[in-house]
Amino acid sequence: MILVSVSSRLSKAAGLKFRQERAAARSLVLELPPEVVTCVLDFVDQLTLAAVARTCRSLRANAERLLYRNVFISDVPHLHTLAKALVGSANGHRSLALRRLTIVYARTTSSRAPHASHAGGLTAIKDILHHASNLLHFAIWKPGLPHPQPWFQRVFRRPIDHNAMLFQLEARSEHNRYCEDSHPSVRSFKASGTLALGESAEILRTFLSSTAPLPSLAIEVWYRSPEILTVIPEQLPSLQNLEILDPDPYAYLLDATTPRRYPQYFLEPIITQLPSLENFKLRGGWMTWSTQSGHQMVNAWGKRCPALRHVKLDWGAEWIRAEEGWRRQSIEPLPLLVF
Amino acid sequence: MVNLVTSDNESFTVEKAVASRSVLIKNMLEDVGESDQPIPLPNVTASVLKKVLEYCDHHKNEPMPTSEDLAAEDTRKRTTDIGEWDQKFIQVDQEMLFEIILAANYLDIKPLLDVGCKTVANMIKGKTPEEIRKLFNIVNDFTPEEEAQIKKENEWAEDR
Repeated sequence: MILVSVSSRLSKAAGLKFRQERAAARSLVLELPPEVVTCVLDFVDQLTLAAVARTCRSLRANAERLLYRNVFISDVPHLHTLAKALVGSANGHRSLALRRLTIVYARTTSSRAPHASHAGGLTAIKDILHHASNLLHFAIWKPGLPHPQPWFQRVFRRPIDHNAMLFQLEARSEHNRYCEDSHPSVRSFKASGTLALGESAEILRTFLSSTAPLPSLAIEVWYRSPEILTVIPEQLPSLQNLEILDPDPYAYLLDATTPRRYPQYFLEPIITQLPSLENFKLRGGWMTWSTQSGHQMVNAWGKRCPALRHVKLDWGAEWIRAEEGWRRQSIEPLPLLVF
Repeated sequence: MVNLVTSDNESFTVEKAVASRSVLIKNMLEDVGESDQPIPLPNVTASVLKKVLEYCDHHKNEPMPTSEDLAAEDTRKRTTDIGEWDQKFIQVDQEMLFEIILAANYLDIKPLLDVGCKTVANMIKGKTPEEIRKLFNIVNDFTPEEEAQIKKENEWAEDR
């Protein structure tokens, strides 16, 4: 009995030694199928992914596919590095992997001012977008205010904090949150209204023209970038679902003439150019004066856009197109406007 | 009971609940119905199957992950936390660890695959390329210039 036990232990020890020697002679990790390597690398942080990418050729592509999937940049020189990293035939896997990109102009290691159009920042962003044909979600954050007039500052709260560290943390946390929540068939675009005039529209145009069209688009525009809306029908004429979030949708209209303060006046031309639009959702304070004006609005939109069958505004106002016409779905009362 | 036959021709008779932790075996059992036919597992050796069955036996009463669970897990931030029992279970030499991972992948036992992958991930976390090469016996096939270039191009990843 003892002999059997000793023999068994010796056999186990010999087996273990044999296995260790065999393992030392070859790389077991390189014998794993690519999908299992991806499964392993899915559990490591991006610094480790960058280290794995430098170990050998066969692990590089696998590690970089994950590394470039979600990119968060808060340093302007890194923006230029990223733009260069996507160029070249050996780097195709990187640009194809890019699904989410967040850029924050919160700090820079250069002495130059952090500005999209400064130091080729906008050019670098456009270069990145030109190569990122699978990009689904793009966000650009820039601290500061868009030089509002004093009365504007009194009426509307500041949407962003001037504390760069807090600003960056908020951007990072939103980037991570979107990584968890996003839907693969919805393309999203978020631009800080503090970008120079026309920059957000130019970036959106590049983003939409470089990537394969999807039926749904969600855009978030901070602080008055009306020109951005015109890019949507220009680039996505067959869009089916559109969601617009703007914390201060009426802000830029304050200096316009009275009739243009209503959403139908500036959204109608956009909807008219989107004949396939079925669902339209407005978030961030979009509202109508009353149920009657809301009805008039969706009725007018419906005439110009035959596919439109669902419009949702904030405050629970939801309109559904039925056979007999548009009907309001929610019974929540509309809030008072404070112009 | 279910009879499983390994690549080295060893037979294991186990409870159906234990064998069914493997989606591959579960599907095979559903396809053949009630049968005494042994199930061949040509990609798994006896020593590895023994470990795999130890894991399956320990977890046999836990609910199987649904496709919704798996889809949610894909998007959720992934942690490398491993349960206490699983940690002890997976304390094996490197070759056995990789064989368990391969077997879990082949037999389609997602929770075991995750335990194995998390263990490997924890081994490489925070290590330099050279340390990772040494750990897994990887030959550096980059020229120094190529490696420097990749390091430079991925510098943005240090952005926090």
